[in-house]
Amino acid sequence: MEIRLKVNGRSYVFDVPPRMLLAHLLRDRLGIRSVRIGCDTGHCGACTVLLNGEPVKSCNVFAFMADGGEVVTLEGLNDRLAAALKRAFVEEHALQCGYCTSGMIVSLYGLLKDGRQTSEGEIRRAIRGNLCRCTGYTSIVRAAVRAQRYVSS
Amino acid sequence: MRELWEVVNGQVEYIDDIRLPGETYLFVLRSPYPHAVVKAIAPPKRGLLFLTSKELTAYMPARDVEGVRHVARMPVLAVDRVKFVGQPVAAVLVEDKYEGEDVLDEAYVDYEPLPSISTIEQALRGDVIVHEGAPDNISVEDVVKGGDLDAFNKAEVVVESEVRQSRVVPNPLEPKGCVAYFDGEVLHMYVSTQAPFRVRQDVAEALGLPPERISVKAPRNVGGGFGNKVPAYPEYVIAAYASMRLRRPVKWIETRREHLNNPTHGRDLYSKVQIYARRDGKIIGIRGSIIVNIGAYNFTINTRAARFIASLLMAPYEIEAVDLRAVGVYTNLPPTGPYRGGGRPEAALIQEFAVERLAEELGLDPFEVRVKNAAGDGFKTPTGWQLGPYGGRALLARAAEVYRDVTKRYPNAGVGVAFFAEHVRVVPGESCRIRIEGCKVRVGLGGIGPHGQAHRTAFQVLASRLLGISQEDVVVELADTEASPWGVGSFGSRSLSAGAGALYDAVQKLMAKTRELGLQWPRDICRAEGLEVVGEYKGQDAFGGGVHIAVVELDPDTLRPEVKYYYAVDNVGNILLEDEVRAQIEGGIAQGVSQVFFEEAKYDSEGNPAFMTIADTGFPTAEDLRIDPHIDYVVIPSPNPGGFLGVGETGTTGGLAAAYIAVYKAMRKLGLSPRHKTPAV
Repeated sequence: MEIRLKVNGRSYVFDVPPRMLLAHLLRDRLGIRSVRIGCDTGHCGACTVLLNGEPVKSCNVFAFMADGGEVVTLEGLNDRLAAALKRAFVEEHALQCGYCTSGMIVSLYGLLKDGRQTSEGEIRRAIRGNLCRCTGYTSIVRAAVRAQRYVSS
Repeated sequence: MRELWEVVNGQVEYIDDIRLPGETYLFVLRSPYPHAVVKAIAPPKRGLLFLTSKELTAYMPARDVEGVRHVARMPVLAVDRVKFVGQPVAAVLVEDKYEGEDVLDEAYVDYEPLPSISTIEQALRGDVIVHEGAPDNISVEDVVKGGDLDAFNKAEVVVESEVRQSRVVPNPLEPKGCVAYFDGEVLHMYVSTQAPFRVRQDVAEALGLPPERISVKAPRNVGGGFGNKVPAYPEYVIAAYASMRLRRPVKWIETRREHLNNPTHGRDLYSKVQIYARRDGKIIGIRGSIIVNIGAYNFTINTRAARFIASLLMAPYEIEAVDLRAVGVYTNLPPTGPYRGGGRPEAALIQEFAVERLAEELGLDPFEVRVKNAAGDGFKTPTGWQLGPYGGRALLARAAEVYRDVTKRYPNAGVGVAFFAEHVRVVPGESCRIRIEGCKVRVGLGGIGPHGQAHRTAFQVLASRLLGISQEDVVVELADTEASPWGVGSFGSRSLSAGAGALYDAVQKLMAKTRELGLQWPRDICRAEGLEVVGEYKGQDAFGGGVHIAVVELDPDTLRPEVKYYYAVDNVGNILLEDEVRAQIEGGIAQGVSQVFFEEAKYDSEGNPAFMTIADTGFPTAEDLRIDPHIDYVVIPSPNPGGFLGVGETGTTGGLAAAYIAVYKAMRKLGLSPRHKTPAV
């Protein structure tokens, strides 16, 4: 079936099988590496992207369900908040193996994009669907707090 | 750190990002039964190639089998019988990866189910015999003893303690995977691995190929390992074989569902030990048994697990005697293997819980009991480990005030102390090749397989320092059997210690060679184009150590545990990347604590998994796991070149024991009976 999709600012028309997942479309047709597969049950969040501005797990969305929509992946996040998040992740050493990192940043971007100050509890809630084995999460929470500070200053 | 910027900017390459033209995809049909006879296999109608053990009869190597009573190597594809749920039975190669699972569905296997077992107790009772050659289900049974065994007679008190440590799914966020391609001469393999040379050796042995004809490299990024990505797996062997048959690249990417029931799982052991002591708290020795459920086969180094744990027990204490039975039993579960810490956390938990119980029994302060018995630097344990400058007494001195403070500050909490000597596996060393190319120095450490430890940066910093050149002029090549002549791997907290030793040697040789050629280093670097040297290091294992203090409160109604405070002081040896040291320890602690609070791969008594998803295995989310440890350290240079130790596992070693004891004590404070197992709540 034919779908229209905007991905990181560019418009595409795809012919996709009905059961194709958005995650596979992004990885296999567009070669987007930040979308990663870590589980097959929607738990790990390594494939998180923004769909029409909201974080979604792209393995939980059939490609056709995104028809007419706009997808933004880590590669497409280039504004001040994204820069603040990336810098804070590096400075807080909030990543090790890196497999979960793009999903984490996308989820946190979704939380922080309104510019509202958020609590540690809200940050943890926003990333509870993004699993990380390396860090124990605390450095990621610290990075989110630091990124907020960068954006609001 | 550039390495971290690359990740946040998405400049990464994990195994599934490697795409070779004409690649085909491997899918594996797995046993749904914990134990069954495979009566017949009907192939699917489609697919490029369908493999069973009829064509590919091969076995995975098992290491450290000397002195082992029975060895049952795991077949690459089941031969006549399956012995655990998830065991590979047949394989199919397909052109279109979206069709793989459909094609698998077309294959049909006729099984005749057999009785099966999953626990250590069932194995020892002999309810079911897993391998005919081992009628008591015992693969390995050894006595680990040393010191003056008569000393046990001097004891005034004997305190027994038992602990069950749960079976844990390693769950790196990136599952395993490989891409194999045979060019007619050489078998090229990209593998998401911690140890390329080990994978090469395993594949070579399984297929009967000379290792020189196999080249193994990890992609630039490996998405976590935790011990699970050290050996080769049956799927790698199948992919290698199929690529030779098809003369096309073959890719296998493990799904999470597969990972949950695939080798290797971690931990799964039972220990019952008796600590012998005087009434004043002076410890004399330890006796008892450590029994590891190694699963259905001898695979990777699971024959070593019980023996290694036994040898480490009580390491940081100046005791006189050790007498332990180390056993590995077969069950109908996936084979176990090293999991973050590979024996160190297990040993620390058994040992520290025993010391805690002793203090409790004698009514002594548990911290003081540790101080009283702490071995000085240079102590040689009754089992033969030379601790060297491990720093135990300095660590206890540093932690003493924190301990006094938290016991006052948190009267309702359980305060758990873990004191341990941390083993760093340097033996049998690493090699390093240095080559001058384009006015830059290429440093090859092919055995080092980073999977989240910023090793590329660490060796770049160290090499630039040793060579007196800028970091930009150093290119580090890791995890590639072509990058240096031989190597071992990144596990056992060894990468920096062993790798730096090889690098020091190579740098010395480079300097000697440039002098010989009349070149002035580094001024004449461009005139040294093409110069190549090989260094190696075959040093001794080293010990660091740590004291971890966990303060845990349990909600009286829900028993939900809360870490009120966590303090860790570790001897980390000389430091190269301070932020990385902290990050490794912090993450390691989280992984240890997580096992105490949440993690268990539960099976029923017949070996059927009671978990279907990563969440079911107790993998914590950011809302479950809230711990912000206070990381402290002491720096005592190790005897190895550069004075480095390793910090990949010390957090887990301390975290598992400290959190376990904290929960035990918190339950006691609430008047509840502790469970004597992980998860402890």
